[in-house]
Amino acid sequence: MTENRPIVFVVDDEPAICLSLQRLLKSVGLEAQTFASAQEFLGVKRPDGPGCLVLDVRLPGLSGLDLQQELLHAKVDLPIVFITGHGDIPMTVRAMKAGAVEFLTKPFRDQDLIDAIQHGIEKHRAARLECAKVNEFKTLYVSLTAREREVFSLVAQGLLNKQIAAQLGVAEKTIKVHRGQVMHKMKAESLADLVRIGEKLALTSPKP
Amino acid sequence: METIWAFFSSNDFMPHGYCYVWNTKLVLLHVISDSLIFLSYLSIPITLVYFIRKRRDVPFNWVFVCFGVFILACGGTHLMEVWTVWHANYWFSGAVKALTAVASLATAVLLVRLIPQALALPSPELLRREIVERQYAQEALQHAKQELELRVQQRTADLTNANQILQAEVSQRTQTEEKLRRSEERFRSLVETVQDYAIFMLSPAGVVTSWNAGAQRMQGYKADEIIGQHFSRFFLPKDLETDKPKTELDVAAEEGRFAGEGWRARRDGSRFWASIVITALRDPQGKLVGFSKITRDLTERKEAEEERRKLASLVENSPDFIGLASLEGQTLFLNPAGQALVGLDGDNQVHATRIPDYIAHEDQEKMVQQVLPIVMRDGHWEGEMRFRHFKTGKTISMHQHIFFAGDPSSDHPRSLATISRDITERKQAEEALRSTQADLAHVTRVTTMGELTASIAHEINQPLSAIVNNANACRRMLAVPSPDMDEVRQAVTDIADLGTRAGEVIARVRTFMKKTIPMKTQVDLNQVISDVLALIPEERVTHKISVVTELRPGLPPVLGDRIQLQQVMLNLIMNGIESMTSIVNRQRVLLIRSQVQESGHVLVTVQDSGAGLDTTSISHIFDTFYTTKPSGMGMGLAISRSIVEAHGGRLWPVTDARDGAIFNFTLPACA
Repeated sequence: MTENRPIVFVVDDEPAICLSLQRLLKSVGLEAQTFASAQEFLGVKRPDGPGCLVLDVRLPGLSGLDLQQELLHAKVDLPIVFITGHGDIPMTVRAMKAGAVEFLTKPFRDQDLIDAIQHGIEKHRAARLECAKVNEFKTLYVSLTAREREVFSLVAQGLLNKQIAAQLGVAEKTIKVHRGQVMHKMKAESLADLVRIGEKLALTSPKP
Repeated sequence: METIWAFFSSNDFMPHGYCYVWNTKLVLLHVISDSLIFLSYLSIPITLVYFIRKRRDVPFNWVFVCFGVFILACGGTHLMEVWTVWHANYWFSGAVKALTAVASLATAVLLVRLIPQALALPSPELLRREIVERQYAQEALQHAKQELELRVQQRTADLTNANQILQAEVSQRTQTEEKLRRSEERFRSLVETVQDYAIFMLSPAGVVTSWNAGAQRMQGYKADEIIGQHFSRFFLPKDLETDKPKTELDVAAEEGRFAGEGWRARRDGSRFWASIVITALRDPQGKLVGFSKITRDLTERKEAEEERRKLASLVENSPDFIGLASLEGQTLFLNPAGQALVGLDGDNQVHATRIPDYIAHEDQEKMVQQVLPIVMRDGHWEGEMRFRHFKTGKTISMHQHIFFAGDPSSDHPRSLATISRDITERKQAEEALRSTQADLAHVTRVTTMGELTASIAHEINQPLSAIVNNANACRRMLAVPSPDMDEVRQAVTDIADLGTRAGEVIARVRTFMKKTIPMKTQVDLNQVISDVLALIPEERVTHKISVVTELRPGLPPVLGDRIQLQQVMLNLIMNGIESMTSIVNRQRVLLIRSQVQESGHVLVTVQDSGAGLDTTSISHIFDTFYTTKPSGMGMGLAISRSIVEAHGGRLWPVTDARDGAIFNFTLPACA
């Protein structure tokens, strides 16, 4: 699976900051897009791919912290590195609690910013991968029959074949056949692998 | 006619003289004799008429008339005899004779018929005897009469004498009576007409028996209304409860006189302050016959007295130091508050003091050398003066007002009066206030400085951060074997620019710091607005903004620092311009208005048609770092408000503006 190049989004109302950050990130091989306000950032369609948001706390209109909340609500998992000229502890706590990667006070060490951005990108990349896998499993899961799904669910909950057979009122041998089908269809290499997949698909908890 | 004419003409007869053949002697004899007869006959009737008119008692007097007529007619015939000597009017002469004949005949007939009656009259002899007798009697009578007259004369003389005495007496008596009457009249008229005194009589029981004009005027009753009424109706109800009317009469009856003052009621119920004298009236035997009552209306005097008492109480109870001194400086009076303030006990101590005794040592010279001469010259002086406490010697800060008292129109010597107030507490409060103000000024300065510092930090931090970023970028770019030198050059150029920008910020701050000691002058805000607008034409063009000004002509100047006020104006205008940069659907209009408020403040309004302020924004606009602008620093309004408030004004947004934002600020106009 090939990944797009990561993009760093910079939102700051000070053009000089935007420009200098873009230049700095370019020097370490990172592509940056700059925005003067939160609204402007929300207004553009972002390319699919890993990324990181470098966000000024104090912005005209929607503030950086407001934008963070907005993105959380929209289930946008873009990692955020906050930068501010005058940060205080409550502001920092609030930002970090809401899942910010880092909170840097201007002027900051370039390495700190780059590390934070890299960390954010990696995090985003991992999250995206995870998300992609789950999506794949979901697709595979759709191909299962109803009985297979039942068996998958009970396997994922850790029940033995014998127990499953008793519960479903069929022969243990039949369960073995179903399990083999499930493993094959879900492309699981081992029983452990299948259980893990079941966990990701949230089948571990008994269905009502 | 002719017959009558013939009767009076001579016809053809010859005058009688021819018969005398014009013998002169004969003619004369006849003419003279006839004329004398005529004259005599004419005089006789006249005499007879005179006689009968005088003697109306003569009987048969009509006979005399007959005789008179007869004689007069005879006289006529003789006159005709003379006439006919020369004129031959014999017809007329005959007619006269015929008339005479008729008269003679009538008289003769009447006389014959009169005789018997005439004979019945007493004869003169009888009459003479009678007369003699009467004469005797008369004489006797005369004699008696004379005697009587003598006696009468004597008696008359006596009587005259007595009469004279009596008359003298009577005249004297009349005069006295007249005098008395006049005096009484005068007195009664005085009593009746006197206006200022109610004078009336009371019966022994107190019933009104007389009433004068003064009483009517003073008490409102007419005589017919009040006479017969008891005088207790002049009293107020509370006096009736204590039976005061009776008490007054009893006192008057016992001591002969009652005098007093008190409130009395008029007919209409209103009160008047009466001065009353009741005098008991007794007859010669000492029996009480009534009372006279004289009442004077002293309401005005009473009110004046009360007014005076009030004024006196004002002075007595005033918490201020109120005193009077002679022009020589001797204290005449000091009210209790004054005495308490300086530690004097009672008037005796007060009278022993002089003006300089009250003044603290430090101000003695000021009082004697400056203040008193000013008072003597101008009549008054007002200012601060330190007094001293007579017992403790402590200094008391006073605000003193000295002036001449006394009416210059009266003969009373003028005196020096003072009304002074202890301002020790005020002085302390002023001191405290001054200190508070200094503190406040300090706090304001610190706050302003804090805001300023934050602003400076922000303004410098931005370029500084960018510089650091650029420098780091350069470092990294230069770390690779073949760096993109164009990019590096650009970064370095930016670094230089940003450094310059930071330096400008510092310079601006320095300028601003210099101005923080405000140079307060009279500033025309219209001029400030014009100055600021002149500074920003580029901004206006760039943002396609039309600026509308409604500047009130003749705007009163405000006292302030021109540069600071320009900053405020610039800030508000820039805020307005920047808020409109994103507006596309309506005109970008910036309205700047100056007005004068009724309170004497100058009101400046800056209105834009920009994005406006929502409720949240409005509550935060003055917070440091709060901004709604893409390139704002969140400092401008905070600083602007500090400046406006430091000038005694107010800066606020209008919360219900429809489109855009409205900011107002007021500054007090110079008095």
